[in-house]
Amino acid sequence: MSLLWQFVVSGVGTGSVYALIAMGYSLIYKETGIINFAQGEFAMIGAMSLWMFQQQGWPLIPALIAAVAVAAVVGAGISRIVMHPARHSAPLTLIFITLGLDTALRGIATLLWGVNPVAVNPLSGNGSIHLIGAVLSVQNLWVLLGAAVVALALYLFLERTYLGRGMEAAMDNPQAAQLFGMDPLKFSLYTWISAAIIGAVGGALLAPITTANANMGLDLGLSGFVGAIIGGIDSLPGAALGGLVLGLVQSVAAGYVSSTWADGIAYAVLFLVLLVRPQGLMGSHAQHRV
Amino acid sequence: MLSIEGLSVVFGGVSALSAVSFEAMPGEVVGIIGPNGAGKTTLFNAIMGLVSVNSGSVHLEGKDITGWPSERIALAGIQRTLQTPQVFQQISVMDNLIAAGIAPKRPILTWAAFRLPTVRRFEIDAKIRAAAELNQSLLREEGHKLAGDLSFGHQRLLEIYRALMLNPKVVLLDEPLSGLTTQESQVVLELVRSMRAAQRTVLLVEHHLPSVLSVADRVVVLAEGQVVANDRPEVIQRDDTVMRVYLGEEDMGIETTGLL
Amino acid sequence: MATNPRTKEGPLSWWRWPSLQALALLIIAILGGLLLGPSWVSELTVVGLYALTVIGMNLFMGYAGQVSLGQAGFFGIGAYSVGIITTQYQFSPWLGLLAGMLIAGVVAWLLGKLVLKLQTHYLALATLAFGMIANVAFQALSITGGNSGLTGIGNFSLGVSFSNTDYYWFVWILVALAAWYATRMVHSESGSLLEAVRSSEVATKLMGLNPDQVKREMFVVSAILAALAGGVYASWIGYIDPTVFTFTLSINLVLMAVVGGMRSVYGAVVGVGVVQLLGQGLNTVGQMISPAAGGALELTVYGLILVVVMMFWPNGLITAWKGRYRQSSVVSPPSAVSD
Repeated sequence: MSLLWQFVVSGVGTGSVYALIAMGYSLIYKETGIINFAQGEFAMIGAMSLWMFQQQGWPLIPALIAAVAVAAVVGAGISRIVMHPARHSAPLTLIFITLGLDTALRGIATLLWGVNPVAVNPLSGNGSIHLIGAVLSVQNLWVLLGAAVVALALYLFLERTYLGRGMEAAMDNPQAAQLFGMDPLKFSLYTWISAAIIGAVGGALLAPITTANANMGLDLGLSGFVGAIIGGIDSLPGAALGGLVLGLVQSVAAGYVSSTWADGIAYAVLFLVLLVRPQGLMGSHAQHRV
Repeated sequence: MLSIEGLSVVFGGVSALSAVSFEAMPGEVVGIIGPNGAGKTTLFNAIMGLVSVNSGSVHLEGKDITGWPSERIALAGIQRTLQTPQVFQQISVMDNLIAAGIAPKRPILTWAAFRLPTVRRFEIDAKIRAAAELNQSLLREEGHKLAGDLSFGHQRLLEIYRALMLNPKVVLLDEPLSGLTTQESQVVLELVRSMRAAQRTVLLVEHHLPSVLSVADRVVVLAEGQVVANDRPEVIQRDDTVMRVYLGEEDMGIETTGLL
Repeated sequence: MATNPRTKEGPLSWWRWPSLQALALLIIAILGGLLLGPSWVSELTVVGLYALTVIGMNLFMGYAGQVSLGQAGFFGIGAYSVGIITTQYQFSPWLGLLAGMLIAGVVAWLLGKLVLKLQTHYLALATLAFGMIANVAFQALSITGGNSGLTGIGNFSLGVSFSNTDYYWFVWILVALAAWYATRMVHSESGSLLEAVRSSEVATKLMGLNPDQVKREMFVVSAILAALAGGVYASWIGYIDPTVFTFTLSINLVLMAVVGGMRSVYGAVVGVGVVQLLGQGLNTVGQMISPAAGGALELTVYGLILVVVMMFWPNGLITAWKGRYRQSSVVSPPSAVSD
């Protein structure tokens, strides 16, 4: 029992990072109809940039902000140079484009930073706390806190700002964006920047726990994606929940079976969801009508 | 004979068709008219098994085909065309017709690659029938063209010819005249008459009222998912309520969308 | 097949006869084998193995309009079948090859039954998940040798054991046969049904054919060809481990399939050659900078190629070069039915 509790507690940590990445998928999907297979790379960029700035001797907060900014710039570039011009392509073409972006970003990161895992300093030391019998590292708390803050910020942005409401309106109806006087180009830009920031925060927070490397984006991205699908990619809270659930399942499976099989179990769950409820646990959109 | 009895379709709580009943005989052309949203396309989709039916039934020659998958309904002898013609864009017009000749045989394509006699036999048969059909058609000069390169009107025609390749007992035509030139419209109406002569049942959804009245043996008027009239064209034409239902919508000038 | 190969009047122009084209490919391969040195022979063997896989993907993705991001899984099933049968059981690798193709075919058939009704995004994801699960199985099972993989996989032999050059001949004969098979299928009357499925599933149903049947057959064919290539690969290279059969391999295969043009069998072969040789070139250049940079440079350029080709020539370079398609309509089928 206490063992299970420990696995659950650790699972919430990774789960909340998955949740962040899943929200990034969901955001881009809802705004632009694109499944962004490169979403995990934003987390990688966040983590590796944080490490890079720490190496330069930057203090924590500026390093963190700079790392997120790097990801935001990459997101903006992708939107401006690639995704916006290509927005009218067929779904399959768009999938291939984002797969290409994922591959290219991984390649560039490896060229810049090498392949070896690097240790990223935790935000506030290596301490840990005890939570009803389970051990939780302080960094894990930061992850939880960070995820909650980002989710809240995203919520407030979408609900409480003019820009955000325009974006939200456009999720339901693309024409509505124009009523808010939004230029589609800016629109795509804000969406991608938001998604990049969310992903980068997740990656930067996770890095001290797992170490970081140029290849981490692929696995993280796929996990986040699986989470998004499990929860329902057309619902932001659904996607977040899906990410959390996936983290829990993986952690428990890794604890009781083996970490290799844990990945397999994640994909098996995905498979099941796709077959039984393709719109996800909380998604509302019926898949096809005819 | 196609007989529809108490057919109801509900989309998310909204009733698209309620208790629609009528019959159509072989060699009969039934015009189906009504304002947008009256349920004409839904009716076709329901007959064809493309949407699920909540209650009621569709019988073809006494056989209950309600709830069958569309491909089985097609094999049983019902064809429909779509409002946006769906031709197979990257093969030739001729190959579009050949495809329709072969599809009902559900061939294993690997056997086709090895030219096995079992497959070869119906491939040749389909080819001969397609050539014959093409030669009688308006597209006879365009057999080698990619279907996607045809004009809109000719794509619509191709879709009808393709449907006829399956030798259907019942043909459902969904706005077959919209977007056609006058000459092409004449060809379609001529085709409808020849379908009647061949003892096929034709259900015709069409906004262009004069054409419907000229070609139909009987007209069914739908409004808000219900049959409000079902009679000979001359009678329908004199019916004030019907004409108001229909013309009221014409005034709004909405012709193209035809939602539900 | 950018041009329309068949007219109503007559058969294919002679230079498009599948048998002649396959023969021409074989002659080029033979000349290549005789004229080029041993290092090229190895390089071109790899090209041939990928080409074999990509021809299957061409049928499934290009012609039937589907997507698979898990072909590495089938490639791996073929490879591990040969590996396991020769190392754990000491049977002939030929048996392993057949077993691999059979298993891959059955798996694809079952998987296809489940997932092929899904739409593009979900199908991409489901096949991706299959590839991932396969990779996990390769890592976690004991019969596959876990993370250290299998070594000492047996050579094929016909009387005498295959030499490196024999593998080259064998692979390219298989490629020629597969290309012959694929072009014959595409050009056959029944082959029109592939375009029917790609263009409009609803219209296909209205002709009395369930599109899932065609998709499933092509999925099975693509799986069998991938397993065939994987099996030959394992026997040729002699050792395998799970790091070969990854998501990255699946993506590279997609890249090779799309660069040449997904609706051109020989375009696919050319695409594979171009991508593979370019990759080798980049690797060599990268190695001069640092040991890790080789692979990284390759990844970067592969990714960028995929992005650029998809943005500007979504039907592939060979197809664009032939210049017969209007760009927009090709990969996007007309939107669905009803209203």
